[in-house]
Amino acid sequence: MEEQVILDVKNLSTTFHTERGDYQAVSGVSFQVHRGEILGVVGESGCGKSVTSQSILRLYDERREACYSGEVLLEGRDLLSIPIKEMQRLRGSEISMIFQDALSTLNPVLTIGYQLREPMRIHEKLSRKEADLNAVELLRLVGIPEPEQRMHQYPHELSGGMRQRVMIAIALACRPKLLIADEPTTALDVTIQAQIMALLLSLNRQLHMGVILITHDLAVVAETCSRAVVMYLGQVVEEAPVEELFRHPLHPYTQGLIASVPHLDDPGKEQLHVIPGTVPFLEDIPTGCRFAPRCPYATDQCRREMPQLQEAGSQRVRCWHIRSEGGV
Amino acid sequence: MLRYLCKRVLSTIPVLFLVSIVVFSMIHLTPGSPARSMLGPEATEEQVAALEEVMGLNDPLPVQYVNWISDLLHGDFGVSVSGNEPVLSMIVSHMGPTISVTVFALIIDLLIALPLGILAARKKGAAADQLVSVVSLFGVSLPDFLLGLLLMLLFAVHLGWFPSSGYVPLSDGFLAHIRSIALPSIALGFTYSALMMRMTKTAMYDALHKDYIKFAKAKGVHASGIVMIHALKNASVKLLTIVGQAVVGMLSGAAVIETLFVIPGVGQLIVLSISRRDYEVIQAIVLLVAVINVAIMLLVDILYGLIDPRIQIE
Repeated sequence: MEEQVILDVKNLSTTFHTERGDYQAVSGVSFQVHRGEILGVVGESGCGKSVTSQSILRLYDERREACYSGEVLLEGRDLLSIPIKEMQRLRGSEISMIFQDALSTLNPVLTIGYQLREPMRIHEKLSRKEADLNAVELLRLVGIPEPEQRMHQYPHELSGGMRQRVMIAIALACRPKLLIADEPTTALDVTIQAQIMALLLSLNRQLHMGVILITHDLAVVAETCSRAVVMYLGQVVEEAPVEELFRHPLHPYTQGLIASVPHLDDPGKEQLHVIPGTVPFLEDIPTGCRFAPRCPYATDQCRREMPQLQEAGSQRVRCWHIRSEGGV
Repeated sequence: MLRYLCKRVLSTIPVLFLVSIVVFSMIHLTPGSPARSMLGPEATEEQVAALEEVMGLNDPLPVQYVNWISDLLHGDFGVSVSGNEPVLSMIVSHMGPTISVTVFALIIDLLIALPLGILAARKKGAAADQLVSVVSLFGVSLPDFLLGLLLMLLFAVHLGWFPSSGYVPLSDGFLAHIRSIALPSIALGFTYSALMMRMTKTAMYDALHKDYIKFAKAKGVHASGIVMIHALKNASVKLLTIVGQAVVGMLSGAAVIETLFVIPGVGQLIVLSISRRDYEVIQAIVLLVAVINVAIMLLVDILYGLIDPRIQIE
């Protein structure tokens, strides 16, 4: 049964104003997130996945830094066209976000208690006492021992895994409908990574919220997500249910990403697969297919014209080869 | 916290010891006998010898130092040669105006520097930022005595809003008191606000571009909360250093402004004492300024620890 769509991103573009000119870091990104679903957003560094997530919350200063276009519909309401005051009300209450490194994300000079109470006091207008009670409950929910004591501590007094849990607790303080997790485990040890992912999964089930999980780690996607969006240079190049994506990747970039993951059960292969080249800078984006310079199947048409996202079964893919040959 | 405090207090002892050595040597480093230079060229040899005996100048130096220090520690700062008044009570009676001017100047300094610095940090590159840069450049390049003269000319001589000189103590009425110290305080405060403004701008700009600000925004914190709580508390560690330096600079640098506006403060006392070669008073004031300096730095250190709990650990 299809769950209700809570977030519908339509043709989102983000352009940054810099001293050297305007650069479009995200161009025409579209995807949907359903209630209770974990959507993976995958890609190399610089592919625009973080910019996409921060654009959903409109975290860039619109007068000086960046401008957005397209639509971001949260339960049908376009976040890009509401006044910024209204957006502030939704941040932390309807949509929350967590980041990679909790040490730099938590304010070093404010107590854990203050930072936990803050969203509840702003959005739910709770008194300090009520917020305190809820905060302790939240810390318990994310699996922090002796939560009453933690309230008076500062971020540097906790371990990395604890800090990450605190950050998650803060993001969940007002029970948002959507949580954006921007590489939530990248800065952690492997064992802690697994714990935090398990926590996110169980919270996703308990609270029945939609989660956008941004990561470059395909293993994490395979374990936790139901669908995934693959991004390359500011565009969505493929979107598919996770099983399909791993079994039958359609876009050459996705194929390259999956082939780059080392397999323990494949001892015959000595060398890892590498995608040749690097992600180009925003100032020299190719005119045709953005992946063409690094693509082993690139033709003249690929280099000349930009392919559009098109349906291919349960998947969507941005590649010329799909129409002509039914997949590469 | 207690350990941090003890460490900080103990670390001031060597500094104070060094300062006391320097201050003590002042009297012996000036050419000729201090007694002779105090009494002037008309005094007879007998008079000079008698004063030297009274001052203990014939004892070996270490003995003199120990005597001097133990007198100081007992609160005996000696007697002023020219005024025949205990040095301590002279200084205390001159402290009031200096403290008044310094506090008022600091308030003016912060009132100018904090809002403008924060504004410039939030709108870096915009017109407001450029204006702040111009104002702060103006403040840095304009010496306080010149600004004082200009203020005096405009507001006292031409407009007559404030008295051009003189001091009214607080006991004679708050308004009259404020009017009497307004111009010197503005002259002093504006000069220091230039540096403070620049520091506020850099510190706030740094803080506003940290990840925790992004997270606070994502939590739905309003712009005022982001600036006044999340960023300012982090930036204030850097700002405290400058505030501490400004207070010390204002206290010890008030000499020119106090002389200009005829304010009977410590600055004026030291200028007078130098012209009278009143060594006991000069020594006491220099030592006092050094002790205040050390005390303020100690206070700043303690406040660091209170604002940023990470500092106590390091």
